Amino acid sequence: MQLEDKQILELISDAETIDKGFNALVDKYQEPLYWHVRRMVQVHEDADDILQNTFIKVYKSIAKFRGDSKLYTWIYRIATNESITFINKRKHIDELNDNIRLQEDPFFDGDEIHQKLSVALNKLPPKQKQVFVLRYYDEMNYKDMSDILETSVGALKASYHHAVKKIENYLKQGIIHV
Amino acid sequence: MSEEKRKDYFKNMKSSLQAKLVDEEIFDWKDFPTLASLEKNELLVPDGYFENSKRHLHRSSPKSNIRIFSMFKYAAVLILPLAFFIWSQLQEPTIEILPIAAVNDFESIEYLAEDDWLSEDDFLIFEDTDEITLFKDLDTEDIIEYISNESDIYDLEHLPIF
Repeated sequence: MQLEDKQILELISDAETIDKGFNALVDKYQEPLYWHVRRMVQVHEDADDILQNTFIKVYKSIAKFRGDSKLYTWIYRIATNESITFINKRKHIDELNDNIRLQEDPFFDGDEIHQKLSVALNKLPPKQKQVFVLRYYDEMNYKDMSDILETSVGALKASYHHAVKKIENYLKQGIIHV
Repeated sequence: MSEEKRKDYFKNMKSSLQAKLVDEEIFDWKDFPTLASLEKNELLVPDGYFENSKRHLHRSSPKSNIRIFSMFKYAAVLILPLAFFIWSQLQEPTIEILPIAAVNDFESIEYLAEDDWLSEDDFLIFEDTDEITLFKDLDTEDIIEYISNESDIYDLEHLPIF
């Protein structure tokens, strides 16, 4: 049975039960976070690295978490920042290389249209990509997205609409207007 | 229905309506049929990935502050002798005494000897008179006396007179 965030934080705040609390946190969040990161970076190996870094950062800074935001949105923000940092580091690597990596990833089982979707996703500006992944794949509500990305609900809705339009256009015509 | 219940009903309806509206899209999915029709199951994970990932994470995270303290303790055992060694080395005089032959080979000394930095037009100002006196008008003894007074360095008082 998964613990509530409040219970997890109580365990973590006590030196005697910190490991138990962190175990519970990993149990609860590793899978949704993995899929969020995986959608952002596509390749399993990269998602695995980012997930590890995310949890290490969470562990190191959980003592400073004051509870002003929900634990859920705080962890997602760390994972999102880690993914964006990774994507920015890989900017110099050409798109072709990224597509080959995806095709060679044994854990990618998509057909041609999924590959196209992946290309289109990589062509989006990082912030728009974040919005798309959180809404389309993670099916997160706008209020939580607003907390994670520190952006107004209206701006997020507009951003998602733009992303959907661009991707649809690319899937149909092979052109994306960034 | 009591007044209070009626108030609650409208208040709850308003907040539930707001929540629904906040999550409404500003577009219609019918306008994006290709994307809307796609299935989202193209990505796989290795078997047992989440179980293994959890074990790996627990191995790589520090267990407690006590363990960190122990690491500091062991580091201190190594660092203290090294710090003492570096400190003792710093206490040693580092002036290297060279044989005369080596000193004569210094390029800087040759440069100073060849340089005419002390030209005849250079001058000294004596504080008590404020008179400007050119080097060329002074005896060597006077120059040495001036420098000795100014610098108060013992060795300068015992310079050989040329």
